[in-house]
Amino acid sequence: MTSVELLLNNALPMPIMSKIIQMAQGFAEKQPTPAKAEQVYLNTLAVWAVHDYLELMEIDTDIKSSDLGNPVVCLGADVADLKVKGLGTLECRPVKVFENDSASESNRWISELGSIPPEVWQERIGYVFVAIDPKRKESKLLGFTKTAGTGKVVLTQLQPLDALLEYLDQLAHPIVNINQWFANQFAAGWQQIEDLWAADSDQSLEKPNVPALRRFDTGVKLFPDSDVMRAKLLDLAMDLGTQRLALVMALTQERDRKVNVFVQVHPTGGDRYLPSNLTLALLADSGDRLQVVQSRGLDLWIQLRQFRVEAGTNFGLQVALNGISVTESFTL
Amino acid sequence: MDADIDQQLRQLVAQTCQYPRRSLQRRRSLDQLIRAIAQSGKLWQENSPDYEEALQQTWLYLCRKIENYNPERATVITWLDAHLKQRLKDLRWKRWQYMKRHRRQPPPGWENPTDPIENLPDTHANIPPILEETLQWAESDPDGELSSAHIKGRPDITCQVLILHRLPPETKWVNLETELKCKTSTLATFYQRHCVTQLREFGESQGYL
Repeated sequence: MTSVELLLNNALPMPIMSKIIQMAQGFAEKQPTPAKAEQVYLNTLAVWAVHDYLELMEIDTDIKSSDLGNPVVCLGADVADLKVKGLGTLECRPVKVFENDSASESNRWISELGSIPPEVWQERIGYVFVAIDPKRKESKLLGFTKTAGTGKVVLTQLQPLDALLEYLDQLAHPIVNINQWFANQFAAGWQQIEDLWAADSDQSLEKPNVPALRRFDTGVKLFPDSDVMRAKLLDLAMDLGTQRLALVMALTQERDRKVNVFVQVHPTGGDRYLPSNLTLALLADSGDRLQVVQSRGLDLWIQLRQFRVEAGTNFGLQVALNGISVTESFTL
Repeated sequence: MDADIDQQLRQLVAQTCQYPRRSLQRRRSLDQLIRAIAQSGKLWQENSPDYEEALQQTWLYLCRKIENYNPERATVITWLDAHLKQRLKDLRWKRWQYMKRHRRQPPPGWENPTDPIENLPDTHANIPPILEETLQWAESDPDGELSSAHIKGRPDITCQVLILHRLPPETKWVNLETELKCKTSTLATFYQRHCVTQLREFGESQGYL
């Protein structure tokens, strides 16, 4: 088997639903030339294949805003855009699957080169290539590349889908370099605890109770010996509304460029106690959990055992409640 | 061999359930699981116009309700097959209902064409007016915007010039590069930022959506 056949065989299959074929034919019918009609038809199937895959992965997209629905744009440009909510636009590039007439299974092939048209070289977070096999009513997600380069892509050199998941995750949770904290530079969202308290109480006017975070306003210093302390509001989107929590992190510089890290999670708004069964975990770069704590009935806060990080290490903090989680990534 | 696959799938399900929803580890694990199930070729298959929709609903069920799986009651494949067959039944029932209401005409798209590309309508027979209308709009430039927006330092390369070149039958980008003596990347960036926006607004104003 050639490497491109191997790629096709191992790619993740997504079914092409009848209603999507119907929609793609509807878009194609609006185009004036057979070449344009086929382009729009294949682009529609490619976008839906990526949409369906991301839907399985619970990555939210906005397919309704795709230019595929606008036949004038399709007439003047070869577009197959899919917005990933909050992250940017993925371009979905179809690759036609050819087939011999003989009934043998192995007689399917795709070209070794994929192309990215110049009109979509900019303003994209990545390009996903999809092999479209209309006879089998199956699309296969071949892989992705972050940049368009010169518009020519060797399909066997694409990054695997797994790397796409990781890439989207990184875009959603940018890695925070905690070294910069010592130079007084902070990534978006990491605030002084007093500012966070002010921002939080603005948003919880309907709860007149004394906000839990107020205790920091009245002179309680959480980590008196730390060099720097910051906090971030986390939103855990639950079935019934949003649970807002404050992730507090304090750092102390040690010798040999090592850093001591203290981590706590506090309730926000008018809540005095944390919800029970809330977990806070320290994750290694591999995703393994190195340390986990869980809240019980009436915890004011929970905290990890203090840990030490060496230069060049990545780690994550994961807060989870009832199966919904938020992960923040850090590097030193 | 079968027992090996069963065991592998059970392990993947157990592994997936360990990770919180929407976490990278869970997504990776689900991706692996779908791949393993698809490659095993063991999932129920049939030739029905509803099959792909039922299968997609089954993948969704797997991804959202994976905690429902009880390893003591069934293999992963048996568990999913039951769901898949039920979805096929539901979809078939919906189709019957539709046919009853519409005097036995199958709903559009149910004919299950063997090769949809070959079955694309012969667009030459009845050319939609969209090309003519768009060409007329680009040539007449009613708002004056197409002929005024141009590439920086190149007043001759306007939105109008580029759109007229790129509407079918379109001039290839490489040929445009030679013809206009301007790099493809420069042309394309301008085209993407300015011309596509104009096309989009014209399409919306024509109510084509």
